[in-house]
Amino acid sequence: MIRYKLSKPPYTKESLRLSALSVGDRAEVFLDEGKDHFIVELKPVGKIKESELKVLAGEFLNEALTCLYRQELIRFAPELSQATAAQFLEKGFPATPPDPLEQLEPQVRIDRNRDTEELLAAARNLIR
Amino acid sequence: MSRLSEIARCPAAHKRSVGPHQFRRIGDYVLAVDDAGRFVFLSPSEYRDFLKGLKPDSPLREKLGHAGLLRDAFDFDDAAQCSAERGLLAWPGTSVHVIRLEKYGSRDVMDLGTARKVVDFVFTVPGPCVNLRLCAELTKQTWGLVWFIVQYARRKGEWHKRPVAFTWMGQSAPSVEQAEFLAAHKVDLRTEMWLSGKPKKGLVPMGVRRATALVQAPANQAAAWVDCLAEAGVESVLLATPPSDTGAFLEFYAAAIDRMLQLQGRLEIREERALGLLSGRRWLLPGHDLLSELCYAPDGGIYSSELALVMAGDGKDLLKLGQVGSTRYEDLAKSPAVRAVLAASLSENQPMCSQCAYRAFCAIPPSESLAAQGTLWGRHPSSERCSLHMAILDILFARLARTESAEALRAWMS
Repeated sequence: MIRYKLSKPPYTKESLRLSALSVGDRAEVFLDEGKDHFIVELKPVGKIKESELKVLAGEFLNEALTCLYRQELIRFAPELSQATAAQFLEKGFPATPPDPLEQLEPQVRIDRNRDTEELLAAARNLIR
Repeated sequence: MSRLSEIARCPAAHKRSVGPHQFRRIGDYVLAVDDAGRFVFLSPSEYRDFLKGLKPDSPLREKLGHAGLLRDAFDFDDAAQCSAERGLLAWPGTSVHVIRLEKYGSRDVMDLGTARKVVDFVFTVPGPCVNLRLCAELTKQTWGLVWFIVQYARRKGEWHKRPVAFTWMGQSAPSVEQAEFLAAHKVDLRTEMWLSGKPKKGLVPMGVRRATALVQAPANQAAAWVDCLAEAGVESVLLATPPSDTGAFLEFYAAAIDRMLQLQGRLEIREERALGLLSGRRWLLPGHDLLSELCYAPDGGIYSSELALVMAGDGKDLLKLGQVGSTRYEDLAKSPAVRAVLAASLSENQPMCSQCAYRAFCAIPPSESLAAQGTLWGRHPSSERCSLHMAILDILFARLARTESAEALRAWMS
């Protein structure tokens, strides 16, 4: 197990939680909070060397710093990224409209379904 | 490590004259790029003059104004058009649909009912062209699936008046009858190969026009390998590096690009990553989650990319977006995975990327960051992919900086 005491600025609870995700199932991460600091414990799942645990802890701390910096950037330019993401999610996913011919002419739909069934039957013959 | 360049003794920027931009030293030039990806090459002394504030009669004003680098001569219309063409809001829909017909490492294959649902789903995804990549080794069972998907998608393309393109990717060579069917339906063959040592004849199977090539060959063999691929009929290649051999790969890559430019007019062969990066459109980068690629598992699972499906095989199915038959395309926008992928794809929010000269051209697929570093966002300062993209863009921009190779590269891109 490895244990760190991290001061509250710059580290935030959110950055430590996000960086815990990057450790995945390689270790359990425990977080405790004091008035001006956090205590983080990394307990590896299974047996690993001390050097490997240090690398894992380094990854965790790198990720925490990257998260902090990323959050700063997002705060710096929230309008741009939020506007892009929101518009993209709203307008980027309109499904292709169904074929009007198939909607208005039931016979077209029936013919196409029959056509597809014939293809499926031919494909089954190829597989057999 | 990523490398951001510095210029010694850089003067402070003149606040009223210098527009927002990023810069990078490339050989004897300074590359200055605006947010929309418009760029110019300047000599270091010109760049210093620009930072200090240009005089009204400076001959550099026209060049820099056109690239959007002068605050007092900013062409808003041109900047808006450039951003609209390259920004995420211009995304036309996923361009490549990878259909994995058999499970990795097993003989379980997709059933015909699922194949039909996959094709139905693909046709609900908007986009100018439906591009299907079928991945499987050819067995009796998978051939039946390939046959059905090609015929069914071709018909759906006619019914919905949408062009359909097919690629079949596998190692096994098709029989004569199968090859005739694939040729008749204009199915491009794609293969994955290793380039090591000297080129060998017969390495590229007949009819293969696209390839993913893992490079282990030395740089002095690059031209010979490009000739070998081009003469065998390969028109499009993705040069990839095996892990931990990036330095040698980049030497090979630079030599290969030079050879491809030399061959123009005689034999046409293009490198896919270079075209994707220089286009400045993230959805043209090979393998980018959701934006350029969606992947379908043999059980009908929808994944954000082929790599996301590979990771799911290892028990990490964070990037599973839904299931054909029960998930509608419009539902994807509500998926937390899609939102996370999108957030991770916005380089404006990324440390290092936000101040990188190549921000307008580059993006790292979130699934790749997840696989390599355990985080969707990626830690780009130590990301191998980041270093690779920066080095490749250095190679490409070094050629764009020189007049003679710039013309050849622009023609090659078009």
